[in-house]
Amino acid sequence: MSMPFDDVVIAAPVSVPYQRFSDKRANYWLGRALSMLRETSGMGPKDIDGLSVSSFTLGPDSAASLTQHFGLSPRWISQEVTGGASGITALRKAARAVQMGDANIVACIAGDTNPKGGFTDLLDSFSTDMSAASLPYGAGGPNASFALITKAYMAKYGAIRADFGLLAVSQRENALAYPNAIMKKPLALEQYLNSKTIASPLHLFDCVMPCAGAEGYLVMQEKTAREYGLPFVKIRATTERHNAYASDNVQLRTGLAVDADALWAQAGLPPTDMNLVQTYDDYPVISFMQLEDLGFCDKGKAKEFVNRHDFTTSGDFPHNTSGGQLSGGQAGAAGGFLGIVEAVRQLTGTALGMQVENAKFGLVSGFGIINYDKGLSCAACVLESGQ
Amino acid sequence: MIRLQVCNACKSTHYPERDICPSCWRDTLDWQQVSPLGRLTTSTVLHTSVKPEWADKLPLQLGLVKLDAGPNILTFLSASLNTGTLVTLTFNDGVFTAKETL
Repeated sequence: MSMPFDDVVIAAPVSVPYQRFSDKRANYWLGRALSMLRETSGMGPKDIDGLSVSSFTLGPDSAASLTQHFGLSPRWISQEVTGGASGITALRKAARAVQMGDANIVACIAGDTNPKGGFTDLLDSFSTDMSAASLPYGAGGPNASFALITKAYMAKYGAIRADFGLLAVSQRENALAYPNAIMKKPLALEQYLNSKTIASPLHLFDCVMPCAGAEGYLVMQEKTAREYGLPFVKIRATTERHNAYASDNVQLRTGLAVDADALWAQAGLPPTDMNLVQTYDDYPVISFMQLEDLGFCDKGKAKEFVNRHDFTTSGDFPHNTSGGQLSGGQAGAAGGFLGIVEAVRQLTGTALGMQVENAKFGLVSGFGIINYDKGLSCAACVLESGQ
Repeated sequence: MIRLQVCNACKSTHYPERDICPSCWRDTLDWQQVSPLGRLTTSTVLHTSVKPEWADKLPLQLGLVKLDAGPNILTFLSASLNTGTLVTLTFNDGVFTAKETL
């Protein structure tokens, strides 16, 4: 089993409000995350000695070149490449660096820009396999890959579109209270069901809207957070896995299923102790799989689970309490940070939208890097309020 | 027959193109003729594309095929086919198309 994280904590969750399109560089959005981290924590370029960056649209830049760009002189840097899992894989590395004394305060930031046509460019440079084995087939991108997965999932487990719709509709309700959400109008199940087809069985409200934005948080020792008067959360357990179940014909399970037992064992808690859950929701089906693979319900039973529980922030299973990406928008790699940043806000009593009452424990999971047939990276963490 | 990479050492077949054999890590991949037969495991009708050049070709029938030779291939479908249909792949102009095996 992985070693515990001792007194390493997460603080200063920040979200740079998203925009549908932006002509600014990714550097701007990442820089805005740093300025918000400074406003929130009081820690500036002289205090930050570790930098973790996650971005798809950095172009020629890297975590290393950004140190000069942002006036930092860190003694530890890292660049995350796991997309939708990057909020948690960044945390895992940063927390170990702080725990071992290789850094005192690590700024973990993720962000992307989105000029008009930017999403097409992003897919063109995404991966060798996407270019070779997915884009030549009509350039559906992730919509096509997830349509294939969703159809197979529905056939195997009997889920219907209205089951996925319940998740989308409850997240829209959460988003209406979250000031940064791109989607501002209520969504009824009828609208979800009647929206236009993107790639059968996926319709419009199954898909995220690409946008520009950034997210960030700080990792430090608990005593540092206390010195600066920052609310914080503790790290009970983490896990990540890449290219699991490689021989599955269609992806109906994620690598989280490999490591879920170890995750809960390290946390010393069962799934039923979680007061809030944030899954990576670029399509509803993948949230269903995360809930199943992490043990919130049996495999194939997310359909019943979502019908039996209220997924809104004030419900009995608060899920994607910011509205998630489905209602908040997908700011590239920042989508992989949205869940952890929102969880830290909820667990420190600083929600921007509706606050989950008495939130003590939270689960965050991530999923990313759709190559051509499968998503390759997944990660999860169990967090505990420091209050 | 279709051409895919086969490892001369461990005989495993791979798609998309690899640089070393992902099964045994030897530098012994070779392009060879393999069986074009497989089974459709899932499908979709694509109504939107991120690239404008596809706009007038939509909607497109796509599917995922598990080849008897091993790999999964995302492919065009010659028609709307049910999951489980036995299919034969052809390769033209850089893309695969699957049609029902007769």
